[in-house]
Amino acid sequence: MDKNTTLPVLGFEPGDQLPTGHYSGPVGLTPGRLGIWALIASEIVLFAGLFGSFILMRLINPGWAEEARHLNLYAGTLNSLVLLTSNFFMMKSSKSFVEDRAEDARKFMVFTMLAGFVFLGIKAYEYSGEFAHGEFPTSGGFWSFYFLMTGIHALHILGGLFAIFLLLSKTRHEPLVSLASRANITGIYWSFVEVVWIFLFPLLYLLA
Amino acid sequence: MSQDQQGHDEHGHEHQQSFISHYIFSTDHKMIGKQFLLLSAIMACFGGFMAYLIRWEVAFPNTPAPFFGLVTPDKFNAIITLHGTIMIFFVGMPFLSAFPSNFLVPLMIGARDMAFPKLNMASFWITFVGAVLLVSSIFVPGGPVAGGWVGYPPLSASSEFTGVKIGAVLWILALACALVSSSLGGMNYLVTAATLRAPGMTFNRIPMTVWFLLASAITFFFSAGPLIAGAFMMLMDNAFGTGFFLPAKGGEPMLWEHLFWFFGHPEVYVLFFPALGFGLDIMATFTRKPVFGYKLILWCTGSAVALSYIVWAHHMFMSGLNPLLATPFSITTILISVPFAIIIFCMFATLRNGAIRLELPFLWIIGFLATFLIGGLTGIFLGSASADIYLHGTYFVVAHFHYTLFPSVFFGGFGAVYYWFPKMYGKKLNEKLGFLHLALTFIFFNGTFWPLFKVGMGGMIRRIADPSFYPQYHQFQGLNAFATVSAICLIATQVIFLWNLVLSLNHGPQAEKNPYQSNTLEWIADSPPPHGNWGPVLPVVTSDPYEYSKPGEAKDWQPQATNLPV
Amino acid sequence: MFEMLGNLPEQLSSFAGDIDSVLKFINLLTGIFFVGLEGYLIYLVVRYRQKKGKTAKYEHGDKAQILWILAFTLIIVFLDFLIDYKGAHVWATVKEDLPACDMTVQVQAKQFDWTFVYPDKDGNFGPNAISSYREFHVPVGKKIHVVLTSKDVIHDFFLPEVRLKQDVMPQRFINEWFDTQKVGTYHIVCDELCGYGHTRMTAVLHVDDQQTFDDWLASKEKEQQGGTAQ
Ligand code: HEM
Ligand SMILES: [Cu+2]
Ligand SMILES: [Cu+2]
Repeated sequence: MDKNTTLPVLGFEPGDQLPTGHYSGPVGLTPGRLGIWALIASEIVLFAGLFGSFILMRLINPGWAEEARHLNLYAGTLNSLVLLTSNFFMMKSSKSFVEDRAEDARKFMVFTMLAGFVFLGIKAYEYSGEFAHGEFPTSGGFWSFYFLMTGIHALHILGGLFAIFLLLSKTRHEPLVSLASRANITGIYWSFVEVVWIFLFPLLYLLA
Repeated sequence: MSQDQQGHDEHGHEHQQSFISHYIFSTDHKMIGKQFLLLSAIMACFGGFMAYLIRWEVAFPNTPAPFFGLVTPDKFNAIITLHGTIMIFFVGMPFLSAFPSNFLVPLMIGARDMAFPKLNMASFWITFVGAVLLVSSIFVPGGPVAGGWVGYPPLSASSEFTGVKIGAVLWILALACALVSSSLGGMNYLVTAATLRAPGMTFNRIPMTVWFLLASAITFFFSAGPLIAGAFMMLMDNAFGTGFFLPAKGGEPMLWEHLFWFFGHPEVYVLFFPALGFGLDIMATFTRKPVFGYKLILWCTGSAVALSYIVWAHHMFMSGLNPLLATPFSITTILISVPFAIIIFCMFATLRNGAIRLELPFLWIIGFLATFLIGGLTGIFLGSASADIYLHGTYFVVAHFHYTLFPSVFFGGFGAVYYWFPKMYGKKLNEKLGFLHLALTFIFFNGTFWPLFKVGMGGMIRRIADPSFYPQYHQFQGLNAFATVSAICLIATQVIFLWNLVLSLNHGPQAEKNPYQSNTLEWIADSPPPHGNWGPVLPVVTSDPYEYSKPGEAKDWQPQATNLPV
Repeated sequence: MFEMLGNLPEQLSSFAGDIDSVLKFINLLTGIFFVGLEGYLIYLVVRYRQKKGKTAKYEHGDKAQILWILAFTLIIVFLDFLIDYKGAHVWATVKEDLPACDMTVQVQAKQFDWTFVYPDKDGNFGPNAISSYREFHVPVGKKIHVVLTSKDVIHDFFLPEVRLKQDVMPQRFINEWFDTQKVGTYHIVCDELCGYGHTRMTAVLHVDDQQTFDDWLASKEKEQQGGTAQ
């Protein structure tokens, strides 16, 4: 991309009064993409704080290993696969945006969201199983961390689903190409949520 | 060379915006900046009133404070906590970071607005909600949180120890709002500066104010995450009875101390950097000289940002941390003084050989330097682990950090307000009142906090509601009373500024576009700049920001962009 | 800044003087820099005021000046390290090395008071241990090993005259030591906000000669046994 082309400033609606600016960023990046990377950077620090705290406390409390064994490893593994599939769909969808295939874009977004909801459903099933066993966030350090970390992650999933939903509803009024960048950004965020899970899963389920 | 040909529609000004979209849910960076300014001013009234109550109780224990009543110990604890939280998160952050970043960054880099105006609006409203939550905690049953602004658990993690539950939850939520809002804001400033600079605004032509605001945003950005994680844990402890930080439930209070200070130390630079940035820009303008060592300063700032993440444990020398860790953290603390020393000396070198115009904003900056210096020097006492054995937790610490924070927030911040006010409102502030404001603030500030060094050296500990209970502190009654009277005068002095504001906004002389013959881009825009800032064409930057007194030129300044009428 | 050291409380422990000398050293250095830098700042502002016919010098930072700045900064770093070097052995004495002590006392903090527990005759902190509420008696000249622990929140054990300070953490036992050089009564305060009663969480340090101390401990013991016997 030419360094000197003027880009529409992201975050504006097309009818917005504000005009264009001069793009001075790195070649190939849009403000939106830069923004999402910045957001992810700040999220990484947040999760680093969370994971770091967990690891620290885990080292102090060797007894947690025993409690980790009470987690539903099957559900956890299944959920990892579900998220992976969901990401695959989102990638497909982003691609359809670029190639201007509206049907596919929408279809894959719906699949992505379905997989997201399946993930949340399985998570809820896991939670209910744990509650049934009398394991609550208040049942000791390990469980506090488990519920906090998976809970925060689930909030991120919800946020991602909301972003995808917004995108989906936009495709009804706007041409796909003008949304391609936004789809790309949403996809990046969705992969990030996936990556967090990839770290979360072994930390909680496998380090038993 | 590209310019945006589409331009700004000329009918934009006639386009009547409704009151709500203009003043309340505005996405214009200048309006959002002013909203942050107003919010910080309102919160400063709360914070200042609490400072008065604290000082009153310390100097005249067990006598009812005028306009309030008796400050009982539980109220005292709540008041110091609110004072600290308000001053840092709802005065310091909005006033030094959010307000200038919003108002100045797009103007100084030649953009029309922030990269994400809606996110920007959201970030203001999140701060606003946080402020409302914090203030409302005063009125809930059980009262506001009373565990100190550092919120050490177990005290702050369970109502069992203070009887405060709702107040504690509101406090954490307010903290979380402030952290999230500043992170979103920081992201916005960074992306804006990266992607929306005017043609020709290369990295080494960016004014110092922008650089330092960005340094501040980055420092915040990478230190807030762990504390947000900690805030979640604290919230769960308070609201749902988990035990992340409660040893009785297998938790670890030191974990919070680490998370808090990993954020807390960088935070003092978050508040210090903007003041340095304003200082450098204002100095260049009024010394009519280029900033000395532009690149050197940037390198120093970068290394200070990096080092700021590895000094936090110097706040925890007495916390039961392994004593062997004192040495490495003392060393990093010494190392971080290097870049700051160099920056301050570069400021001195900028003054040297200048043709200094002793105007008001410049004098505020000199006040900033003169007082901050004391904060920096007294920091050496506390950075020495062995001296800290005695000084930790005494009034010496209170004096020290007020000598760092107050200069940044008040001297640096007011320097910026006096300097950029004509650009913000198109009016000039009254100079005489401004001088009076400065002189009295300077005198009473020192009057308030200088005695506290002595009191602290005498061993008087902070956060006690009733010094009269301690016979050994009776000897400091005189100093304490003096400090309190000064503090009351200091707070009262700020009324001069409000008066000036009202007077100048209504009757002040119209400001010119560029009243100081300054180079940076914002002075090319109208005062105040219209929506979109630049009219149909963007400025094209052709020179460095500080080309003052260039030999052989007719005038002693050279605007950064020459394609627009100045 | 110079005169504030006069406010320091008297020196009770053998290391109080060392800590004070670190304070004095820092005070001297920062005092010199304070006068020098503030003076230079005022000089610069006055000396380089705008005058008719004189323009500012157009300079971006020539090598010589930058070298000056770096050299000056190096001096500061050197002095900083000197301070830390001087302080390091004091820190090691007070905080790192626990010497062989004559006596161990457990200091228990809770909202909002202090209890000092002395071992029974066999040196145990069992049921026969002797506890003293808000009164800390120690024999003069002896090295006292204190084990700090809290029952609820974080407190801080501060003996200003001894120049000893340490946070008291819940459910942890932190080892500190001090000695005393003069008979008398001194102060103990809590230096970490610990709740609404924090402001009155004090205790008294009694430094007794050996005889008085022994008598006091014996009477305490008797009192306590009488108490449990009833
Ligand atoms: C009118 C000016 C001010 C006065 C008179 C004042 C007074 C005080 C006093 C006496 C304390 C100590 C309370 C104690 O330890 O017993 C205190 C604490 C504090 N102040 Fe200020 N202050 C002022 C302005 C500021 C400003 C501008 C800031 C920061 C931007 C600030 C930040 C703090 C913080 C963080 C604390 C610690 C609170 C705590 O102990 O939890 N203050 N202030
Ligand atoms: Cu620090
Ligand atoms: Cu206390």
